[in-house]
Amino acid sequence: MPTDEDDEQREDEEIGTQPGDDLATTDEIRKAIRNLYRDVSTRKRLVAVAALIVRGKPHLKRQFEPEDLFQEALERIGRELRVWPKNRVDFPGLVIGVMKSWSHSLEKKKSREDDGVVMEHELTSADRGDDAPNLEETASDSSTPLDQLEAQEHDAKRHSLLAILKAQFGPQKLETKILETIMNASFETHEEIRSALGVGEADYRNAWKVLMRAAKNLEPKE
Amino acid sequence: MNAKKIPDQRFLDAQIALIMGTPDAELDELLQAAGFDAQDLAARGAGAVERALAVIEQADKASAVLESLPVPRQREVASRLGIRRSVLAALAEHRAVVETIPKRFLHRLANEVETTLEAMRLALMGPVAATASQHKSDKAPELPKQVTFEQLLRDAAMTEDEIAELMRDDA
Repeated sequence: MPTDEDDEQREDEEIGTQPGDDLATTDEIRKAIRNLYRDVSTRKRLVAVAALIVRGKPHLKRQFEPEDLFQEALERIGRELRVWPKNRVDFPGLVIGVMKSWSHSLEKKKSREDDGVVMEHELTSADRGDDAPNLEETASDSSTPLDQLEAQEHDAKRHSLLAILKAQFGPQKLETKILETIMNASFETHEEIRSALGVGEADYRNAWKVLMRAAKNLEPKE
Repeated sequence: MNAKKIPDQRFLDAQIALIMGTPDAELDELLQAAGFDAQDLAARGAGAVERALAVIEQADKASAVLESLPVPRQREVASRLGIRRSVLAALAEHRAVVETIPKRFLHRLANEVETTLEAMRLALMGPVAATASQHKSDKAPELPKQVTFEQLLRDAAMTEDEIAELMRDDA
């Protein structure tokens, strides 16, 4: 039975190759990693993204700092365990995709380890190599009751977090309208959401700052 | 911000898009609002990039060493590790699921290859190497499947006592 976890899995899984893809060479990949030394802005952004990803993974959060996730992603990309189709994704986008995909797999595995359960299918591998793809594949196997229960509990927890976040603002507040738009509709870009809400850029950005601060404050303290 | 995703995933994606799309001049302010110290993020990121590049380089070297060990040296290393030479070759071809290799064994293998545990682990990851499927027919090669380390030992006809000793993980 498909679950929302499967949806996440499909969305976040590694970027595969398509016919006509322009795959980066080893030199291009290594150069892109080295470039992060001097590109302070991208570096800050990617570690911040790693932190947001880790925040939503309770098991991973106990053992991983955001920079660990960032480093792991760079290592996998650097060793070409993940391809980089340059024509479809830029380097920061690739790093984010790998961080999301790998953290998703690891969170699932650690959740089971913490529960003292090891699934047989976690110990077998696909041909593609690397631990992550194998575990990612298992993520789409929701046939066990434990899988289904985990997915339901995770969804319920996260739904309630967003509900609590939304409840912090009055119905007419821009923050509420932004959350409702995200929760109920599908928009590809912030510009689309902003246009749909008919608000100015500065107001929109300020509302997001408030939302992100509130979301941070909602995170359980360790 | 895909419709198929649950709301929290769309919220995460929206936050990511905002962080990635904010102009440089406004970035630190946004990060601060999200509870981050921008300078701290930059420093942590620099450390991560440095460590990743070092591990990648070490993993490259470890792979090269493993793949090019002369037969007498393969025998020597295999003997010291208490494994068959075929197991060492299988490891070099990425035929073991890395996460099933006990840390203690990985440590010992890393020592033999003169690299770090982290680099050794990274070096053993990846698709099964093409050398594992060398063949003479015209048919497309079929790569061997990755198996657990324990299965690899069993396939190499090692004894139960030997397997138990190798699977011990007290590092």
